[in-house]
Amino acid sequence: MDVRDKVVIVAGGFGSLGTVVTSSLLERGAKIAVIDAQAAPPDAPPDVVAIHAELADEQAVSVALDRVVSKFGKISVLVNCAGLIHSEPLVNLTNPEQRRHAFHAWESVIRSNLTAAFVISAHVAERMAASRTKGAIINFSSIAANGNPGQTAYAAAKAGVEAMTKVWARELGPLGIRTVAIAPGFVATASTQAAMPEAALSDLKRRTPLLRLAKPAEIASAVIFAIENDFITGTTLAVDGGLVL
Amino acid sequence: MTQSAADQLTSIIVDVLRVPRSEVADALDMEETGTWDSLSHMQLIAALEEEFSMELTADEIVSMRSVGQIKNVLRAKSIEI
Repeated sequence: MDVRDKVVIVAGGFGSLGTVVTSSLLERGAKIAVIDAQAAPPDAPPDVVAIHAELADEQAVSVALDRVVSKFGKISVLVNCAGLIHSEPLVNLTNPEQRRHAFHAWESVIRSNLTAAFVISAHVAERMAASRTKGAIINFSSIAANGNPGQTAYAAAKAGVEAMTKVWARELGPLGIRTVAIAPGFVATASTQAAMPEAALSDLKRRTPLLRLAKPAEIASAVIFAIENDFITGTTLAVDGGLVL
Repeated sequence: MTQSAADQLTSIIVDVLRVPRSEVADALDMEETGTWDSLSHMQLIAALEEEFSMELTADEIVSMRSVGQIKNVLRAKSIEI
């Protein structure tokens, strides 16, 4: 599918990766609506329709999609970039205040990474099916789906995203709707730099066959590929420099 | 020789619902056909729309619960079947 003049929703498009994905799609002539729980930054591209909404809230998502359709018409692509990284061990006996993974953290991570993708994808797929629009839903997984220690909730959510991607490929494929997951490794973003000590980053680079972190544009490039290739569906594209081998 | 609309419909039902051609009759319906569920129904709709170059409304999609009812909808769209 050529994205030029296609209506693309980037859920979580104001996050660190979402911003790069949005820019890449704009460069290719897509009509972009960003639906995000965070407000549009002052430097958000003026061509983007920014809609503030909680992505796991069915009512809010429905209203947001009504706005997109009334502005642009049929939705052809959804990119689910929204997410929340959280690291916490299942058991931590050294912390008498919180010896187990906090339940509220589990719920929050599942809601942000899994429930949000489910809710908006279901609404978009319904509209695509009802309007007979062939299109694509691109989800964001992570190498964490393979079982990163210290990331029970995040890993479970991302494994769930990969499972949904496969299910939807089977359910929606006959209607011409493809679903693909992108699984980035560690990406050179400000949030990665802030979240990880320099020594840990150096170790990661050493363990990555390509000996570096991903550039954000390389992740966006995978999203574009997944949208444009009309015979790819139900799979997860690892963009991790070979870290998971 | 071009296929009749009835043959085209039968072929779609055989392909999508994986039922023997000999079992395709007006009485074949969703209730009694194990492979005819909500998912295969949408596949059926997509195939019918493509084959007969038309678009079905939401009400028509809901009403098409048997081969006979599918034919009624197609006839209402001036397809001779």
